[in-house]
Amino acid sequence: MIFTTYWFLAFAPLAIVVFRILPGKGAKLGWLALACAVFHYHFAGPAGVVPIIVLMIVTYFAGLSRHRGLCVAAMLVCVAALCFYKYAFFLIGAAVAPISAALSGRLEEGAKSIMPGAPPLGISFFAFEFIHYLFEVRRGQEPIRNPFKFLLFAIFFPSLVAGPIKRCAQFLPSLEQASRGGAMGADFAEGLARVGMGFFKKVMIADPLTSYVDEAQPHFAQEHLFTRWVILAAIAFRILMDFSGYSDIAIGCARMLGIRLPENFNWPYGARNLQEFWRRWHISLTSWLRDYVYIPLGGNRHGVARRVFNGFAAFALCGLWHGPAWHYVLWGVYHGAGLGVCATYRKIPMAGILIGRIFDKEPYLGWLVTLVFTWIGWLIFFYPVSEAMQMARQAFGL
Amino acid sequence: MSENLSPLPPVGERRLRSGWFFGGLAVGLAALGFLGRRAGQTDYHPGFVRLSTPITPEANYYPTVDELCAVARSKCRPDQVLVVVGGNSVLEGVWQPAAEVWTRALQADLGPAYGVVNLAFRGSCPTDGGAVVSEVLRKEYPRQVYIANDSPATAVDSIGSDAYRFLFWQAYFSGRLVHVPMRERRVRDYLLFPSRRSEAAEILIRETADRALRFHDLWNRVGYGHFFTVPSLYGSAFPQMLTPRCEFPDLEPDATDPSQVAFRYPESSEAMELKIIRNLSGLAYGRAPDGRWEMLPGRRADLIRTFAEAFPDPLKGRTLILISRSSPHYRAMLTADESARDDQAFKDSVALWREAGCHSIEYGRDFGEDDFGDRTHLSKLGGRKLADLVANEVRAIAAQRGYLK
Repeated sequence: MIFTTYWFLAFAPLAIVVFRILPGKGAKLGWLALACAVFHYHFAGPAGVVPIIVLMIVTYFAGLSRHRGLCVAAMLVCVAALCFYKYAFFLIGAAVAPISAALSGRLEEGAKSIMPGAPPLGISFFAFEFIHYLFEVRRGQEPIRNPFKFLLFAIFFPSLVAGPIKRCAQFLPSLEQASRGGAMGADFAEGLARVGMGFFKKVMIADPLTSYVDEAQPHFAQEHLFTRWVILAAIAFRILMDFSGYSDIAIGCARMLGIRLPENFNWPYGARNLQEFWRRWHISLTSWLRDYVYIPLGGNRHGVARRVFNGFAAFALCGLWHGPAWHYVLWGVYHGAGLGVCATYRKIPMAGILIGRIFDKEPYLGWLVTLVFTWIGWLIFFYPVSEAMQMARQAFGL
Repeated sequence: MSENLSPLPPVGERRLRSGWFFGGLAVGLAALGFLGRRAGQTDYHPGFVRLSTPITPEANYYPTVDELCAVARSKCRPDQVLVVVGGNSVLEGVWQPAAEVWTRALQADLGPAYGVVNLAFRGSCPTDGGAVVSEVLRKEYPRQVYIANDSPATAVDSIGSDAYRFLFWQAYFSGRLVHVPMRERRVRDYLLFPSRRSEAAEILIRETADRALRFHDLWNRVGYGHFFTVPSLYGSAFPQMLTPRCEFPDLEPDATDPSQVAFRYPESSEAMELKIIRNLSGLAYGRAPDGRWEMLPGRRADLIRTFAEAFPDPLKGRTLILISRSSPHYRAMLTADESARDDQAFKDSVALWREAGCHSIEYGRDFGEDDFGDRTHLSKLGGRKLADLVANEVRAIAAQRGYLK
């Protein structure tokens, strides 16, 4: 985790304090751009920086042109870069290997020879933010003309590695306000408290839970039913604390600069149905998928079947976004199916209406079902499918 | 955000608030740094015997150089000759209960003129923790002997092994080591290696910050005596992980206990143990034209270079390197030819360490099966024999260097 390195602990206070004390908008923006570039270079290295610079240039000029076709082309470049760097081997294995093992081998060799050791740092976030920007410009939003501001939108260091996924319509006014010296002491204090909370979640809760899960999970089958659910709870809270801790640090650092980032979590395990869960979990990703996948596909405008299909597609993509492996896709599909059921079950005559009434009358029941559904989902997310299925059965004593 | 700007407080008030905040931060950090410094100067390991697993990196506890120096001071008065034991699990005393560990026998053998401290870490090399502490204390304890062990024909790194290099960096970046040009070159090569860019930055920042703030010492003091916060194989889950490390006993089993016999030479690992023994010399030796076993030229050059660079020249004369023999339980399974190769490897290793300016002996050749707890570790019986051997060597070094009248 980048935020727990000594480098970051030395870099962030320097970047933030100098930004706050520098006079003048130009100096502030220049310093912040320099700091972000140093941050990106340090953690991504030359091999990770070059592809992002190329994508940045393509996106910046495509946006500046305001040409709809060029914007679409640039979006395709972003998607292609994401597929190439993150999903090349997965796609070759999934699409080519079943047809021709020899061709698949050749393609893999070819990809290995031109690819860096690991995908460029934060490529998924870059791709999603650039696509969002180009989509909005194509829809008529003003492009970012100031290259410094575009650079800052692209590589703003607090959110560079794991989000939250920014929207330029939110980010730019906040950046403008902060660069004019509008960052208040209260911002600094609240940001600092948020950063502290993030570190507490990560170091004091998520890391011990990770250690516990690593130790206990291999003996899942031998454990008592109650202990199995304790392990499930540990898995569920580990990912929440780890990811929301990371988001807290990112949001807190930005806030100390006087810049507001979108929230990413809002007590997701308190949700009373799956739709609500996804309005509370990784909010910046879910809203991105809603705005740039689900709604463009038709959203809920073309009947129940189409609505369910669109949800399915958006969540399969959501799963795949988390990593190039089938169990991520399955996790996305699992949630897509769950959302489909959640959105439509009340339309089933008699039974659906009855169940809906029960949930309305006993909201805790809905909360419990949602909790169990999402926790079982984490098994698919973290473990190979067969192992996840076995653990899920064992969780119910089967 | 498109929120309206709140009116800013007057500039003077803002500066005052910032001043209070940063002033408070500076005072707080200074206070923590002071507490850390105090912690580093105090020996908070009463009854220290050795670095048992709960207070080692294996259990996410990273002792500091100052902490180990404080332990050494508590074991040795300034008027005594300090005997620092480094090396690996063999010298740490695996298979020997804390009450009967071989360094206690060594202390008894040497008598009150010497103060022995066991700072051996499992899996470490001769230039790791104990060597660093010994070098840091060179001026405070000019009458000193450093003891470590190693396998035959094994090269060493002058900056320590990966797992324990954090101690070298602490001492190096606080300027407490002897300036040795060859080691400086090794440090530069290590830190400037392209793929270690991030690691080098982490080391530099960590050590610079720690030198000022002493957070490692402070947290170790808290973690050892009050509560531990990092999960590890010891009490991994909350709330057990909060248990302070002082509450974990040294549970090393006794190899001579009948209940342990089954674990000492398990048949299931026989093939693997034999492979390790064979590889010790097998990978380093080839046939000479006259049919004798001869160390491969590349390996010999490596050993000559790394042994010469291992310790600063002024400290080599008080360094004793023990080359550890394997248990006769396994040695008996070697062919005559393999045994001859092994003998040559031990002989050559001792000779090369001596050529480098250190003292060196091999041990274990005449030890029996019961003197070993397993392939390489000694039982308390073997520990007593080792203590006798080492005591003689230490006395000889002390006499040679004029430590005692």
